[in-house]
Amino acid sequence: MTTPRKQIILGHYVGGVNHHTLWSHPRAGSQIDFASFRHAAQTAERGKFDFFFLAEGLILRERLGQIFDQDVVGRPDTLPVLTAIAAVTEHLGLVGTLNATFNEPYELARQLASLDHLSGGRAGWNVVTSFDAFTGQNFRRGGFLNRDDRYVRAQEFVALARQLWDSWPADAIAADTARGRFLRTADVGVFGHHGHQFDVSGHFNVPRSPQGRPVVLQAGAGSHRGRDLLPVPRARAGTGVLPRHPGPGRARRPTGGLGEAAAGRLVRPR
Amino acid sequence: MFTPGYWTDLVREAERGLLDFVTFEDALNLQSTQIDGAPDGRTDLVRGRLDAVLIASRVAPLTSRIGLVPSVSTLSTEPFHISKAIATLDFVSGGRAGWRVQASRPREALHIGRRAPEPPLHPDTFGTPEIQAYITETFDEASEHVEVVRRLWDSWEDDAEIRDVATGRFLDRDRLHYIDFEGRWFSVRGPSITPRPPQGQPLVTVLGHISAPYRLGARLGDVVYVTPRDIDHARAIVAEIRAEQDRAGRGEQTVHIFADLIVVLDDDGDAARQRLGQLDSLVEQPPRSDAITIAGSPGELADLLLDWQAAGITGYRLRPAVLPVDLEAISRGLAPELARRGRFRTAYTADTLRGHLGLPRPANRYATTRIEAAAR
Repeated sequence: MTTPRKQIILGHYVGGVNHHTLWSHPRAGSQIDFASFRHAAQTAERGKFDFFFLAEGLILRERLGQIFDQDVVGRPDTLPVLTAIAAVTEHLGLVGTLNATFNEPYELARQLASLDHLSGGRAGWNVVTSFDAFTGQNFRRGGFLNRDDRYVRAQEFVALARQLWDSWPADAIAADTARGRFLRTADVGVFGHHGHQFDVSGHFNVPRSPQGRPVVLQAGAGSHRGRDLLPVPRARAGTGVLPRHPGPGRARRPTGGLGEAAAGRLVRPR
Repeated sequence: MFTPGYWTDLVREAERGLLDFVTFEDALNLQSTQIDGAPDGRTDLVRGRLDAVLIASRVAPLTSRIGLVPSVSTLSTEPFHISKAIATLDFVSGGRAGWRVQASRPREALHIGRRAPEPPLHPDTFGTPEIQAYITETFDEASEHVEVVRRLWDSWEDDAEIRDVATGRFLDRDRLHYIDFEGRWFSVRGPSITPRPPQGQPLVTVLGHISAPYRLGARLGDVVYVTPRDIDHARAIVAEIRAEQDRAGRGEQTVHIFADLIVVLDDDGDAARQRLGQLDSLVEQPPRSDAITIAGSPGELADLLLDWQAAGITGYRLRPAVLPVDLEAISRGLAPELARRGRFRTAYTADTLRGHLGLPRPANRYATTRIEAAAR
């Protein structure tokens, strides 16, 4: 028997809104039509990529007080477009960049668990934070976090999401028509969290998803603070760090062997 | 219910019947038979549900004509998020998205760290000033919310993206608009990160049983779902909503009033009525419902729908009692029956949800302002 060779993990990053996406080329397509996303995702799947990765920014970029008009601007909402891609792909992991500052843990945990169900176990979450009042202008809560608190909030956010994902036993649903019983026990989804950032309780209403927990990733240019927000040791399953700069010399160190576990769980378990 | 195939099969069945749209229920809390949503400890009924916007998004690429209308709560979800989520559903479905505005579900507040009303919502507390004030506030907040979402959908003009290679500009920033909404509940600057969706304004729908949601629907909605007990009640509800619509200055616009009905259908009407009796005896305690149940043949149901239409009801949201049995009876029995009478389509004639409902694609409020300003 031969020793298995260490495999490469490949993710397909779809930026769209940035200064290196070329829009002026005659063949440059739409950055918003679903056909573009379908094409990109199906191409990545044909190439046997591990996952498809969508970025997000919750405010249009400005320069000198004016909306920046020289780059591609405008993108779809991350989770609906990833879920639609789930309908036209079979194996590709679906990773969304989602903000821990301007979302609620219950709601986001629910959406990610739903994506995991609706994709047969292919959901992943790239956790990002924002602290600036600039983005806050688009939200009820406003710009309310200083730079340190955004990591505190993000850490508590991710821990709470994991608590919610673990709140249903894997065998909670009996669906026993003969005995007229849907649940094995009535106390599914019970949770309570009383922390500095969140004070919430109730019953989580999404049954345990195919992966148990969607994969959590953290993008960053090697920042220790960013990596520190992953609440479990880096080597543990279900986490990964994405380097911002894909140059080989720079990428080697920050990622160091992290992706394996992540990719193993991004692939449909079957 | 937790697999995509379950939903895809149901929606395709509805599309085969040429229905206008399907709605997807949602809630943050676990299903409960208690009126305030408190846990009821039951294990005999279905518990658990997936996010409705995502179910609709999953079904969208696998269907082509039918409208997709998920419920989203104004209590939990930021208007900025709802606006881009429904706009994106409109993009992935090619102009078939709508939103069922879910305003009041007191128990859900706890899941996101907000307070539930005191005293808890219950038939005995319903008339108290505290609960009445809670209801008023909830719908005031929902109204602001819908207004913000609608403005965000208009925050990009349709032709904002110019890709002008000569000047190096991807977009014309004069055609993007800060909405600068400042209300009691929300303060949102905009513009959206998502361009204006294919329908311009996706469909906004509201379910109501009392005046507060009727007012919300009449002022800001395209469709109001109502639950009349009988034809006289239907007439009274229609009159109230039309009066609110006039008061809001929307008398000239189309606002649909849909009656919600639970249906148990069989080619033989007596068989349907018998089946309803069996269904009621299946569970320990039949769940309470806000809408009345009609058991009968497709022909009998068609008679009722046409009677109520004459009383001012413009459409129906039928809730199949048993899936997929009663949905199939609607798409294969009721729809052809109505078509035979010349009262329902024999093929889709529009591509968008607004198109199915005879609603025009609305002008962009900010474009009009900008063009008028330029003319001065």
